[in-house]
Amino acid sequence: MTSRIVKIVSRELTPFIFLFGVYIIIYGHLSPGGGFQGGVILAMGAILVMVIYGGEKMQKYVPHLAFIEILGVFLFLLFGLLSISYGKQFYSNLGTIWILNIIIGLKVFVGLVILYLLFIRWELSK
Amino acid sequence: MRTEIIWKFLVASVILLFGVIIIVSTMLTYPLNLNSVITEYYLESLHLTGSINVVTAILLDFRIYDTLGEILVIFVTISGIMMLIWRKNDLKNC
Repeated sequence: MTSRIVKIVSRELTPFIFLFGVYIIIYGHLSPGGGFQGGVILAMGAILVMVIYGGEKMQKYVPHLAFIEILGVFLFLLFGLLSISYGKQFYSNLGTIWILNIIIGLKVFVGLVILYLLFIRWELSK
Repeated sequence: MRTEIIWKFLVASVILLFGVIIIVSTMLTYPLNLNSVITEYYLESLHLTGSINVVTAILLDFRIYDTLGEILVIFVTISGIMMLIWRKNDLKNC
């Protein structure tokens, strides 16, 4: 059982953590940061909520999160093929660095959340 | 008792010698010419890639195959872990 102080503080703090993570991702090409760092910050916000309030209800969404993960890989590969269709080399730059940042951030966020949800499963199944 | 102390000093000196050898060989083989052409090339990242942040420009334009490999490593890791410990109906109350 977590205390009431921890619950209220984490509930009030989580939107700012998510906002900071999204800021780090979408300003990745202008200021320090990028997809990986922002994705890790977003995942830490989600994991904070799941530590405090329990991650049992999120267990049934693991296939959906894995689908987003696979979609991220295919979108990242799609941008490599897109530059071929413009008549350039594979993964040459089309001004799409910010889109790649967003894809990487989404993928890292979903990946870390999946890892946390899978690692608490054996604790739940006892 | 005395032989233990001698043995400890012997081990410590061997470790210290190993560290000194590593440091000296690293310093001897490190390229100390920092004013090379490629430094200027990286600082032109705004005109070359459209990104002010040089780290992002290197990660997502100059060395994008490295980033692709990193993404595939995370993907394969999560696939392996899901294959090992994810079952569809093993939790009753969730």
